[in-house]
Amino acid sequence: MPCGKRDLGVRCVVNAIEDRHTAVTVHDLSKTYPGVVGRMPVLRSLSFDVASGGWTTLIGPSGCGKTTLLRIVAGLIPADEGTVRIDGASAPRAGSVSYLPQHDTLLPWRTALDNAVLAWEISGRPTAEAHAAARSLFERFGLAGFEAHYPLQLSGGMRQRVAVIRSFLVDRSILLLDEPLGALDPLTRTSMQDWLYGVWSEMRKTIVLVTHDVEEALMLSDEIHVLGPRPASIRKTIRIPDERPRQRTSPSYYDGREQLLRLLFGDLP
Amino acid sequence: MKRRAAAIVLGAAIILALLAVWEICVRQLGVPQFVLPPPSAILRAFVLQFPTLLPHIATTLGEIVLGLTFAVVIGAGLGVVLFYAPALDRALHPLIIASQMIPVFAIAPLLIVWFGYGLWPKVAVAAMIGFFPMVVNVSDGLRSTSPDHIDLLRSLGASRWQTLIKLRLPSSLPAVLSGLKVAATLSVVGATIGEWVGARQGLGYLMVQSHSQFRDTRVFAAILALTILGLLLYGGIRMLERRLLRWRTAVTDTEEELYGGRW
Repeated sequence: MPCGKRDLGVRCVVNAIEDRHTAVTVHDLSKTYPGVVGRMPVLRSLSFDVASGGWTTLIGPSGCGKTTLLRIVAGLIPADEGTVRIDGASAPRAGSVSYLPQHDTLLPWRTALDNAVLAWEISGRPTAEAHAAARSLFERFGLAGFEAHYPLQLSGGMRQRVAVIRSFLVDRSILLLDEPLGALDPLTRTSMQDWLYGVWSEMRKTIVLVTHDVEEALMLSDEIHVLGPRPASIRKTIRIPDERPRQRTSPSYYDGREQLLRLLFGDLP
Repeated sequence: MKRRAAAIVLGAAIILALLAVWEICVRQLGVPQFVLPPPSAILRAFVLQFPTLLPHIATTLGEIVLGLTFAVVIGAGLGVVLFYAPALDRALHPLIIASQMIPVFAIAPLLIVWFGYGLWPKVAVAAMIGFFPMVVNVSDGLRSTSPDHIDLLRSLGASRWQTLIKLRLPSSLPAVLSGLKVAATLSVVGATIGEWVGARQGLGYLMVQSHSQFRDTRVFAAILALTILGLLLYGGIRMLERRLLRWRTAVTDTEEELYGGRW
């Protein structure tokens, strides 16, 4: 990837070696919410980079501020301090990245196919073209035959598939996923991890995933940032160089699992 | 489908049983016609005098439809405006509530002074009572949108207008349709009240006239006509609701099939 003018500097040299540029830069981010007594800190001087085309995961205990962090990166709420850069441009505005919220991901009055094309509809592209594109993705990713179903008629796993397809159909290179598999049962979740990898390996977007699931993080990520309890800050960053698709039974998976659990829960017995 | 047919049969049976009790009581107790006519006499009057009723039905129907249209347009419009302008909402809220505390009967004569004997005072009364459930349900409906859905639309770069059209309005639709059902039934009452106070035609007018002439079977025939109008209007809205909220009914139908009822 050639270095743009704005990338000149040390980072550019480093990234040039890796043949990647930085898609998202989060620098010294802080956020507080009004609490019962004074303001409650949610994020405290948080910094990390997301490599373009890679899969970055933020893992941390429930309620540590992961969703707040994603909403700031998505440009939905402002930070108190610090900066977020999306592809070098400062101050993200809503609409500059694709964002999949945690709950209520589909509009219940739209069929699965109409949900999938929502982003195209909003950007004003021709509906027929969008429908054709969504239809072919439905075929390829195990949703054929469910195009005309309403969300209430779909299983939890199916619903999330539709939501993920919609996120990939958004014309943005960066995709933020807020616990996309969090509400699913363990069996469905495991098969959905493989499915998610399948979609990503074909569509190739930069992904920032928020999760509290160790298996999910290890199976999918290039890089895992482990967050501590609120106010969230990064405890440690782990790189996973293993080829994908990965095995849930490999020794390196177990090593990674132990390392992550230690970081999340302190020393294991 | 079977379940639906059963519901219709049951409904008809209940109505017929009530009518039978009414008929028997009136005949056995020897109640005079001007106190309470038996259903058979009402039905005969309705059929025989249908040509007389028809122009009155047309007038009242026109008032109801116009009144309801105004109620929906003004009510829904105000609901949207008040939702987007919270300061105005707080300022106007007492006024809107107060408008419903005024007994319509008390101001209906005034409306006749203002608008004359024609169509408009009736439309005004119907609109006045019908707009309230629309305002309340539209603004409450708009408020009930899921915050995650709003995040989603904003992250897709949707404008406020797109968010209203693609998210807030559809998600408020169940509440709006409930409001519409209430507004429709109220507008029937409203139009009749308007006619009661002063009119030259319409079912309300016919009732007042017939009552003063001791033709009480015709009063009831007019009530029957009004009831049928109301039921047709309500049925139409129910059909509209089933169409617009198919995403919900599609599931409740299967639920009924699965469990043999609602749980």
